[in-house]
Amino acid sequence: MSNAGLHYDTWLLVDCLREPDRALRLNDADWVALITMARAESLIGTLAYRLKNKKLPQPVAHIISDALIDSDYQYRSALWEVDCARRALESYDGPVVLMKGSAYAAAGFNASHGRFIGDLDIMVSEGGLKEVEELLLKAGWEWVKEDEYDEAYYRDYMHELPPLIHSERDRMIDVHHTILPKTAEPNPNARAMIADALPIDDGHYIFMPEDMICHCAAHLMADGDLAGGLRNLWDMHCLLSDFSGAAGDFWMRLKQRAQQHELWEAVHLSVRQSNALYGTTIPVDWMQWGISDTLFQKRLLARNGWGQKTYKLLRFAFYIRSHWLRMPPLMLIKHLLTKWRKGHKAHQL
Amino acid sequence: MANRYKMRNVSNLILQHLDYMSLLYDRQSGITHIIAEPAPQIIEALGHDAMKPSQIERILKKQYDIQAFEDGNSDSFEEIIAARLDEFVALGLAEKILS
Amino acid sequence: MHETHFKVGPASFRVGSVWKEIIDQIEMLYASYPKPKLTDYTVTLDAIRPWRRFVRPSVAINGDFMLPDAAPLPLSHGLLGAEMGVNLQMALGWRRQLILHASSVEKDGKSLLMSGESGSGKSTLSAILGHRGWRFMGDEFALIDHDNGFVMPYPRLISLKNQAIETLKKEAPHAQFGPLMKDTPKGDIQHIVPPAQAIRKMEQGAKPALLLFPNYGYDAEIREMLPSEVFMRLTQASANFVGLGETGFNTLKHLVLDVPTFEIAYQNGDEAEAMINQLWEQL
Repeated sequence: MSNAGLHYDTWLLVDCLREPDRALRLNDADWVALITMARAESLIGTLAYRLKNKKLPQPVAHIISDALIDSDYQYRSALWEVDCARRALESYDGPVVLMKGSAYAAAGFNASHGRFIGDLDIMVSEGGLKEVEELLLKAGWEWVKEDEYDEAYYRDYMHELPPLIHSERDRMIDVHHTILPKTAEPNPNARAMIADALPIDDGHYIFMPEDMICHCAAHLMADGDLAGGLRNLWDMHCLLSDFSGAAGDFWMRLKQRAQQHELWEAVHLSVRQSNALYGTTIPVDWMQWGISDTLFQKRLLARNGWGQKTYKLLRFAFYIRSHWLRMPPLMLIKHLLTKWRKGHKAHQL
Repeated sequence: MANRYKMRNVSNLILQHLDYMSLLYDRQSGITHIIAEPAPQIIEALGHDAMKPSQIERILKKQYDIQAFEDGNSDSFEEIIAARLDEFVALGLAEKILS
Repeated sequence: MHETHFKVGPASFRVGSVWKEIIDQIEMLYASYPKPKLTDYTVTLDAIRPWRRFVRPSVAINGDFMLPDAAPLPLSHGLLGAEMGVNLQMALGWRRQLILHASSVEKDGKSLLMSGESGSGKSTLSAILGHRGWRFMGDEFALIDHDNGFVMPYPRLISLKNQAIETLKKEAPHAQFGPLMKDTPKGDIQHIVPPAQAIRKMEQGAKPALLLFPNYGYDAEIREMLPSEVFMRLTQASANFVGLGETGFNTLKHLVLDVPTFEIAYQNGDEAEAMINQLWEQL
């Protein structure tokens, strides 16, 4: 009987990502907990990248090497999907903006190193959705079977088309026209995001740096129940570290842009968390730690050495909160009820 | 005027003949294609160059007994080549150079 | 959380459960396997809800690598849950060798691979041959080394289904059997500990000399297979071929080009053994 694994939280993972040399002092049980947590947070590839040239115990070296092979595959497949989308959308006139992992990979940012990359996310103007949808369907993507409620929900309220999957390659694409659902409280200026996007070599676009951070923060704080939060925050840390060195007034421009998108709160909070957990260098006047920051941090770190979620109640509070942010209250009740009924039915089957 | 075709990146491809089928591994996508004759021969004929189907036909006719390909097919050999090339384009392996 | 560790071939596992009885069963059956502290993978067998630890216990299988919506199992099938969890880690996580869904046995330093769908009899055949002069290497996964093409053993507990249970009780009456699990999603299942030398030599690989696709329940027949057909079948039988990229492509290509491959149809173990011996002699 051993309760050792239960006593860890993801501080160990955060510490080793921030200062990889700390991992060199770990004992066997620490390593097992670290690797389990890194896998559960989809950060094993990132950790592997941070540790790859260190002198590691043999069993760990094997695990790290497996993770590097896997992230290599993720990276290659993600770029291939980007290429496939480019060819499918060649005749579309407007900019096609790559988002999240695919954007980091296509632009060669540090955030892409070892990153798990799932679906391809792209953004086009709302007016271009129909044409993009048709071109993708023509090139072999098809609707993932959704039930009617989900379909109607996507169409009416969400910030993206229902997901499409490629019939041969089995890979998903999410086509967005803005970065948050229409029903969400903040109302980012999608038009400006697309207008100011920057072209990259292959004909696609990526957000300009300030918008990329705004999107990352929106994704981390407002969109979703903080699931995968540590990984999104690692993106934030890498982006901030890449961009803030460039020009002296970066932080001022970031604040202005975040305010324009009604995302200042989310951006500010993400920046503070990134500084507190990953040690990102940020301006002194951006550091204003409050009680809610402590709760956020506790939520981000809520996982034990068996990879299991801890602080279930706190997690549920954040789940409700994330839906609150995305939908007006009456709709929220309808949504939770429908989801709950479906969940209930599924368990009886 | 027929279009010309070009393999996108020949150095990314590994071609391995097995029997009547061949393997084609594409390093860029990480995808393995299993292809039947005359697709592997078309790739070899093209090499790094851009060619029209009729040019490829001429090369292959010099090298192989084309009768074997044409047996039982109503399409002309050139049409077969063009069809294979269009499949390569759809798979992202080749590009069509519009003339 | 109760915890146990064990190593199968090159891969090591940590299994944790809120139920002591599952961990005790695993420790009894895996008693002769090494127990490294630093393991490759973690599997947990947890209650689907906290109270379901005690009321109608229901086991949720989780681990480093998971499939969404894996169905929970009753506590009496806990050992099957551990087997499924461990298999999933290998199928989704392992990159050190090419994994084939195949059984394998060794004789005179050369290995015989048997691949095929479940029900083809590959697992039962490997278990039988393991008691008839061959060294048992694995009933489920064969690991193909990228550098030298050797088959590396993965001699986990042999998972016997339905009639195979009786067949092996006759074949190896003194072997150590696990509890009989009736009416699982895969039928009746009982585990058997592989022969001692299979575990003792579990780090010793062997060059593949023959690859067979057995087909149980048909009239006896031997058919040689073309490399392209074998390649296609093995990409479907491999858990990590796609994820390994060029390395996996090269490993599989060499296997297909180097190893003679046949499909054999058979009605019973003795018939299959005779065909295997005949093909083995001809090599």
